[in-house]
Amino acid sequence: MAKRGYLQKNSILVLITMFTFGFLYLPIIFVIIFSFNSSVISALPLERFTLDWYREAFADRQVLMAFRNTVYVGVIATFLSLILGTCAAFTLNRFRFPARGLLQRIILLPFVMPGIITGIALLLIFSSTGIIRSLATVIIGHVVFCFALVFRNVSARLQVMSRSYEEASYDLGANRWQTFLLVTLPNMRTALLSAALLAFVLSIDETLITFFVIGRQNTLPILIWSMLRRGFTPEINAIVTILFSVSLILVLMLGVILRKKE
Amino acid sequence: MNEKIKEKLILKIEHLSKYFGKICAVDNISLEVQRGEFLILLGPSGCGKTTTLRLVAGLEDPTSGQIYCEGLFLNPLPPYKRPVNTVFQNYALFPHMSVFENVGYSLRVKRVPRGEIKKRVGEALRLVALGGFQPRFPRELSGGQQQRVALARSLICQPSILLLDEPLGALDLKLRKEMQIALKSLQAKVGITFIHVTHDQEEAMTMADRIVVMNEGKIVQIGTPKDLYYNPVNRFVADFIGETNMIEGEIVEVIDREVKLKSRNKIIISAKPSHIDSGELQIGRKVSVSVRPEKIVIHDRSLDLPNVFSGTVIGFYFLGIEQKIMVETEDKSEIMVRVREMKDSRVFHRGEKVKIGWEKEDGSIFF
Repeated sequence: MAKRGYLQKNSILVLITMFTFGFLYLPIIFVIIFSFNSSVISALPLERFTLDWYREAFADRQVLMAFRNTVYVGVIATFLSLILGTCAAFTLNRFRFPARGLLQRIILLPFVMPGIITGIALLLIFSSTGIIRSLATVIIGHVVFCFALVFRNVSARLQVMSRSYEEASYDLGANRWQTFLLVTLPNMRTALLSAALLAFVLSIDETLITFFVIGRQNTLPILIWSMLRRGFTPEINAIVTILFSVSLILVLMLGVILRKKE
Repeated sequence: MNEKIKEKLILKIEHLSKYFGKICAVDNISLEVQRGEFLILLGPSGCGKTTTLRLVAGLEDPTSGQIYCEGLFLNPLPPYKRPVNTVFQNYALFPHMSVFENVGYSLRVKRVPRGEIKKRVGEALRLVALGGFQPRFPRELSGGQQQRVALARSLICQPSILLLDEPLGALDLKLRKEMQIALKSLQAKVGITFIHVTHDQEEAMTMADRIVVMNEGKIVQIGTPKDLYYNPVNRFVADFIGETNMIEGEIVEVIDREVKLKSRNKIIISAKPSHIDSGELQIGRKVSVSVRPEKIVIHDRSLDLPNVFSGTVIGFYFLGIEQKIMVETEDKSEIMVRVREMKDSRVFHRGEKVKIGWEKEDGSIFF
């Protein structure tokens, strides 16, 4: 009797979950389907299977440049965020000083603030100081966000990680720098790697902040945006699918790493 | 300093205090440790023994006071510059390194050549009976094995003093007893001064050359296990070391070499304590009398002793080497009696009426 009731309750839950996932992902699934569809108009019924749009995308110079820029920005922004985020995490977690709590909240602001505010704020700074918008300003924009992410991940790890490893290392004769390299860093491997992956994914998908601080050279999300404004072509479907796939693969890799940690 | 004294003294702690904010963890302690001795810091949780250890290791900075090791002033030195090593309570073996890398760590940071590291790691592991364990990882080892790796890791650099922070706490009883003996013989073999922290008085009695009893940040008494057992300086030590019966009472008479006390309805006669000034023994003063269980005689008939009381057996425990008998006296106090077990020893049953008693000298008076 109990089993039947459980299943009944369960089936409602299953239905709600399916509906939610469907609602969220159906649009993107459609985009993926249509990227392989030969028709110029992205509508049902489907025509035949084709890879033409992908060929067009890979042949499009603009697309290739944007792709290169996106990866370039992603790698550098991630790298800078890792360094800055780790330093900040250590400083705020291992030392006591007056404005500590306040500083922590300020660093985490980008999570709370709408991207549009961050974007406009940065734009104001750049224009008032005469900094020309370019890929460098995009990197700065991404670092503002990604550095908070790294900071949060590494802080969480530091708080949980037992101090006794570091103490044992000092006790055995290693100075602060040796301890950091030989003991602390290796123990933070997973936290750093997952933070880096997440930062990179967020960077390559970032649109809103990028929109405000971008210069002449495009990143992929911005290119897609401007292509859409000019008029829709199925090539866009292909580009979106590629971007989505890359993000998906990276996030799945992240999941594997995290599960391995268990 | 006299050369001879300089050689004997390996650690000198002078007026050491440590405050965490307003809380005093270590309160103005001074201590001298002899070279090669097995010293134990003993006390209940929170008494300051671990903090003292960490101050010597350099993992905490003192609020005031000085620490010297073989004449070297330790205060300004960080832990990695002190000739002192620590075995941590949870061993703190580096999880991402093998046993070989863990044990060889201190040599590696000193940039000792690889060949020599290999040789010395081998020696250190053989010393703790873990030869061949080099490629294993800490997570593959049992608690006892991890502890021995931690020992090897700390001993390999031949420190002047080895500090041990309740290293046997996580082990089961049998293993703990084995390790107590193993540690003691290891120390004798290596000749290094050990300072060991524990809250287990039995462990302390088993292993120590000298015990430093601590309570609430202060040193209460320092002495050999025998000293502390037979001549505790106050009620805390008498109660903490070994087992004892504490009887509360009030002084009613002081005659010559005796003190008469009244405890509920009983009169207890004890020998005058040597560690208390006669002037302090006023009539009416409240005191405690400590009587060790093994000093109490139990019999079903009468006893010819200055202190004799009637009671009923409420508990009888056969423990192999001894019998433990709980007796409830007429005024409802519970007295523990220990009798050495012989095969033909009398067995007492619950509910039996007995007489218990002890000599004047066996009841120690404390305030």
